[in-house]
Amino acid sequence: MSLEVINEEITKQVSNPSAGAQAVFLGRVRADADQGVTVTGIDYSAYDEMTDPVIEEIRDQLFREFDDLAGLYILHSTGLVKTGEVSLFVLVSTGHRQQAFRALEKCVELIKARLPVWKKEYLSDGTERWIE
Amino acid sequence: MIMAYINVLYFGSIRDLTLKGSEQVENPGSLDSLKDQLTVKYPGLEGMRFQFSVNRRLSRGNEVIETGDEIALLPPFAGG
Repeated sequence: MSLEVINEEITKQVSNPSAGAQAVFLGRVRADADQGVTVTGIDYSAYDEMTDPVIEEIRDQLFREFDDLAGLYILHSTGLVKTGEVSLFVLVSTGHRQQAFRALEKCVELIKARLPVWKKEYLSDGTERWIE
Repeated sequence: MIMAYINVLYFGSIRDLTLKGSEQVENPGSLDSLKDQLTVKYPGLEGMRFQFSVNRRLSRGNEVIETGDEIALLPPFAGG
């Protein structure tokens, strides 16, 4: 995902009149190295028809739990994401700062637990492996 | 006799095992029966961890399967 997409969404949310605070999470592909072999990228695949209902459930749960939540944006890359690039972007807008941090953390944890997404690591020695 | 089919979808490492993203199979009637049937067809499934979804909802144990249902085999999620 490009930084333009991320900037665009942050800009949109800044115009939300209820939001006094925003918190952003960027999940990126780490340049992990093990005995001279490095990760060159990760391919993310998803059960596309199931990701939308799951994201809706996550949104519903967060809006129920955080009464100061004013906006929530989630974007997960699919396909090949190279080392250093962003695979997950979460933006939370709240009236006041306290819930911003907590809602952001809860959102990321729920995504990791429930989103039907899988990842295959590509390594510099030409091999690939599923990460579970 | 009219065949009653279901759609079975494979994801992640299971897709590498079956070498296909999806297939139609005869409805075996329940998730437990489906698991038995698929393990015979793809013996590598035996040692793999996964859960079923039924029509895009995670299953809650052994459920009845209806004709036309979409069943997916979901390895542990790794998003985020």
